[in-house]
Amino acid sequence: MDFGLVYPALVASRLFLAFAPLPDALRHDHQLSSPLTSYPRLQEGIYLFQHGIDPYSGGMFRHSPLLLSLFSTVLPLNDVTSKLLWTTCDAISVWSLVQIWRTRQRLSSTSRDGLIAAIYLLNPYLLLPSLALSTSTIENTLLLLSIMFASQGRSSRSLLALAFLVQLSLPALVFVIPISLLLLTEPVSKLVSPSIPNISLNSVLAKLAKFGSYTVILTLLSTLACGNWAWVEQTWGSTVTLPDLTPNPGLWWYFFTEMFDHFRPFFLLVFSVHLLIYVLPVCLKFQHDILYATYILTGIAALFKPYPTLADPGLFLSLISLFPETYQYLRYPIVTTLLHLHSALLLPLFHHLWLSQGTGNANFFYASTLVFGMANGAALLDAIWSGLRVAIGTLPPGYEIVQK
Amino acid sequence: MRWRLAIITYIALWLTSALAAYEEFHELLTFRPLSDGKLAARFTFTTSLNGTHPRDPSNLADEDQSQHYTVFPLALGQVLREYAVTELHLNLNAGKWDYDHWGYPDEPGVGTGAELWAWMGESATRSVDERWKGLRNALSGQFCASLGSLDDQRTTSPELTFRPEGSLPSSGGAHRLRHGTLPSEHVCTENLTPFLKLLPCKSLSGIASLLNPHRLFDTDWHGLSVHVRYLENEGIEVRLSFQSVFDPVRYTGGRRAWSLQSVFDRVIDRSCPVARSSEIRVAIPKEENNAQITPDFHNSDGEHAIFDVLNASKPLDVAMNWVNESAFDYNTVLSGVPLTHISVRRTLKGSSQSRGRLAVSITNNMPITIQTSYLESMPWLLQFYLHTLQVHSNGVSRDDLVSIVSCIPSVPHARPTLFQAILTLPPKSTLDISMDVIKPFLRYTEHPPDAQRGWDLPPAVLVPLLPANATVLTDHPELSLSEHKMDGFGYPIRSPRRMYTPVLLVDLATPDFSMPYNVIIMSCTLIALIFGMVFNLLTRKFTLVRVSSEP
Amino acid sequence: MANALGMYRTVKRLGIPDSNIILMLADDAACNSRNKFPGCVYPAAARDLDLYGDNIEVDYRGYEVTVENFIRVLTGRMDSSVPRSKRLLSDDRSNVFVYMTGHGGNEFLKFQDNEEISAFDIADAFEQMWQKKRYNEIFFMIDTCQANTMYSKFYSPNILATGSSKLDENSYSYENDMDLGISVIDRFTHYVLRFMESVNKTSQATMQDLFDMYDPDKFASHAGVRSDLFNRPIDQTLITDFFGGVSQAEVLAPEEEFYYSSTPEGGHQQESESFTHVDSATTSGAVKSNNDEIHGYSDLLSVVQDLQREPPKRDTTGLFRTWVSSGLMFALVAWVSMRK
Repeated sequence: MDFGLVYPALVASRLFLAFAPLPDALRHDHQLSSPLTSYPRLQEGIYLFQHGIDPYSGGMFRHSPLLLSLFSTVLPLNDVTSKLLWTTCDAISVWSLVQIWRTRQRLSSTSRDGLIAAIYLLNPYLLLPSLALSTSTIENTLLLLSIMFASQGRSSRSLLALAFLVQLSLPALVFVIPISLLLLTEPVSKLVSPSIPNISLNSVLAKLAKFGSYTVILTLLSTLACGNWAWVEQTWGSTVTLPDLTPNPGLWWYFFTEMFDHFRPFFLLVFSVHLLIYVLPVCLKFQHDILYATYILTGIAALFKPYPTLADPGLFLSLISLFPETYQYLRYPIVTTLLHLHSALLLPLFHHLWLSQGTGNANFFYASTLVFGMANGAALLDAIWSGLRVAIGTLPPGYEIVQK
Repeated sequence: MRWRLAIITYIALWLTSALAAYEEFHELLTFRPLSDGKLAARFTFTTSLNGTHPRDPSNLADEDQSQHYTVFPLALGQVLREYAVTELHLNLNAGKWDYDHWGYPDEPGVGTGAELWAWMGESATRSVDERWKGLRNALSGQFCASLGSLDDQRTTSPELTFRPEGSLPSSGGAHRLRHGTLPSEHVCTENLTPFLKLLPCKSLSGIASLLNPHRLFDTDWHGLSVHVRYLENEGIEVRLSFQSVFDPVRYTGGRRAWSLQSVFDRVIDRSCPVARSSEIRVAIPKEENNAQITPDFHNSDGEHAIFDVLNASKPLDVAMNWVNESAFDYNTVLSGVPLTHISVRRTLKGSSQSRGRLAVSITNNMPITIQTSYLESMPWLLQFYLHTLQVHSNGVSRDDLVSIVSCIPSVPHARPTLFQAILTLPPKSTLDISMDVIKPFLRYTEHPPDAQRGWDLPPAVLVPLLPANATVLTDHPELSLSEHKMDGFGYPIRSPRRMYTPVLLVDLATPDFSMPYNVIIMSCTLIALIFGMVFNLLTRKFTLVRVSSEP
Repeated sequence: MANALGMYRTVKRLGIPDSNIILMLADDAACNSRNKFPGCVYPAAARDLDLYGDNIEVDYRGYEVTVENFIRVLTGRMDSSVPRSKRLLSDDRSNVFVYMTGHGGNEFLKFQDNEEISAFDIADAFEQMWQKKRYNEIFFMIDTCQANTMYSKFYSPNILATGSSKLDENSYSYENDMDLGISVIDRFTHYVLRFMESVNKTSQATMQDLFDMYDPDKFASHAGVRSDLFNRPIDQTLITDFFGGVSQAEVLAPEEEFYYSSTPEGGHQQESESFTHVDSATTSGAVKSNNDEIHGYSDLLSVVQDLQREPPKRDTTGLFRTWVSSGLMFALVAWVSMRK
């Protein structure tokens, strides 16, 4: 498909859809936006700020002060500008994704560009949160920009985009090391013939230091915008202490709803550290193809983030379009697809039954989040398997793969 | 020798008691027949401790000087001095006060449930919050109410609406207000028992002997309250009050005639010997000239028939009868002048357990524009989206009629929202305010044992204000807001007329209470499975193994 | 409700003051809007006796009745702000009577629909009390289903326990009130209270007499007694040792009469009254302050006037800060984009 035709057509249809009369309930849906990404809360925070009340003194507003300062000064949010902004973010995301693909293929344009754009823009997991004006779309845009710049070797831009992303969402820290490594290697596919790249520790540390300095600058800018340090506890602190137990498609909320107070700090620590321990092993195992490691970590972040929305696994599923060499080695794509279909239908249904209609209880929705977790887990495991399996290639007859 | 010693002792005692603080105890019972056939009764027991002032909070680290009381309640006095409280108000009410039919209550604090607020001076040794905690617990033990649960999640400081009703001594630090509401608190005999024990004559004689719990707690609305205030140049005044709205039509099967015997099932046999004054006042209905009050009274201030219990013949049974009325006609209730300046209705709309809409509808009954302050101290069980605030006056959107004075947002698991606004009400119109609210999700341990019932939300408080230069409304002189009214003892009623909306019930989503271990196990299983399988793939190498043997 | 209230009334009648009683009622039955007889709780369908009465002090009510609060009361480990009326202020010469009733089962008693207290919890609490010398002797009575299992785990000395039914047995209610639509009292407690009616402050009835009254046919369950931890013989232990507040009084010869003017109470009322009458003559003419200004309104009115005079000002420093912050953000992005 010709990218030059498909891309504008998709963006135009996306814009058309954004301005179509959508139900207001979409913005309040718990699957599409979490307390950290919800649009009404963003509006509330800006409103309080404009009326002289510190939005971080209460527990309603958990967005980054950078968003607060952006939307209360340069880009005032109303019906029109917000829809345009979100559509623009989607357009940038698609463009970045296609650029990543092109860089990986070492071609300036391929025949699959249009397909990749369609896989991203038409993915309901990504389309619906974007229509709901959830800021997880902005987070996806920043992540894709960061990966794109890293694939192209532009370290300042990539690390700045990542620093912005970490300001918006603390679990994005899992991407710091892969992006730094990606800057020092090429994103060309080496899955088939893995070779250990030559990366010195000093250069990695230099990248980390640059990222650290950008983060410090942005933190100081956030403090300047906010006037005090209260934002740290409300934004970053909320991913660690989980004060808001609003349901979402993740695994944390019900676990910590039913948790006794005595064990709460321990399990919060365990869950937070659990998210971080995947970074190094995945990067080490896929050091020959860091882009694939980044892709795997996207899936892990989607599964184990404290406040996920549907946009996080949506990004993971759309990124699979970058790695067609792994398709033939996926062991159970049908199972994964069916699990996703299963949970995608059950999640909104049980959510409605529990909260709107009152005929179901919390267990229904919790069960559907477990199924969703299984679906994401199945996709993740299959991706890891096929990524490793590609290196072995076609099996000679009479031989079997075994793990030792 | 003995008699000389006795005279000297008597003179010394007389001198010391004349110079020292002296105490007075007054009793008052007022009756006011209401337009819908009901009867509002109000008991007021006032004990003044003249010549003293509240404990200086800066001296909290030192030993307190001993206090000597005769009629002043010792238990309450000890609590007040222990925590250096300048002003204290405690209301325990049950029922819903119907402003439209009953008008303004004599005691303004008619919010359902328990309401406790206190003005305390700052101190370097013990903070106001620490003393507030001690005060709530002490009062909860004193009055057998669960006031100890008025913790951070229910305490606010709405200083604009709850002004001190007495004076605040200027010595010491600045005074702070602490206010807490518990709308689901019940009132029963166990609250009345310690209340009566604070009176010098208990319930044995005087007007307090009429307080029969079996009748009092059968009423449409009842509430007991304790007010302590400091009046400069005078001293500390403790006012214990019990208000109730009886329904004689229900007891007598159709007639609204009442008497002490029919209402309280008791009469006054003895008067309280230590009372300085003990009166029963019956409001004379103005529009009806067939109302008849017995026994005959000679004392009247124009509006009330006044009976002096100390000198009346006992047993005293005051009664009111409507001559030639065999049954009360409810049709007269519908036509009537508005009894209050504004009428308020507050509702929570929406059937979802994740969000709703809070709607307040305020009707201005006056032909002039008046302003009213609107206070919501909402626990974090309901969180406001202020940016969705919509104001309509008679259907037209008017955002200029609401000006937000302050808003302190709520902190989950900690602080309530404090929202204060000034509303401007055009004459004879209805103002509709609504805003989106979201309902939070509580932790397992935060739900009460009967979680399916929902949570009671405290009433909103409105204070109608007339502009200072408004002429007295000749049509409705009783609604004039220039407070020339005095209470029975000649003190002007200083409290602004607060109006309380009824409480709301919010239904929050509950987790499954039977399943904490199951949830932990299932979630951990999924996470551990994925963890295990991911690390299985990451840490083990693939090797090729020859399977088929060469034929 | 009537179970606990009946015991409360008995104990009060036999002389224990409210300051020595801790009453925990989880439900508000007397003043509940569905109670046809407000302010009353009756132990019998005949409704001849009202247990709630005019004079009652409930120390823990509603949501305050939890397992945690109960064990804190027993062991005395409480926050310092808890008032005296909610504490068990007993020492090593106190005899403590503990009565529990509700829904229960094998070694547990249900609190508030979502909690249970187990026999082990109570046994450990009693042991803590023993270690802290908070009791001389304990009499433990429990009226639930399978009640005897609740005292099977005690291991501290000087405890006498009795329960209404044994393992795998239910305890039954006595009779129903057709107007109220509930059963008013349980059999075990009903018969115990009936026995107690024959006991007064000077009675020499012993615990053995109480236990001899137990009749499995009337109770429809086998009530049990556990006395192995009790070091006195039961037939010499008076009922009033636990139920009554009988105090020893000595009458002394009258001494010189001395009147103190400070805090006269009760009998001295006469003296103070005469003085106050004298005082009132001097102060009745004092002018009472007739301040017309509504003290309370002034602050609210001034806020209103402030709002009318000037429009609410926006937070200009905040706006300035955010503009600077956004500007610096864009500058950073631009600088990075300019670089290589």
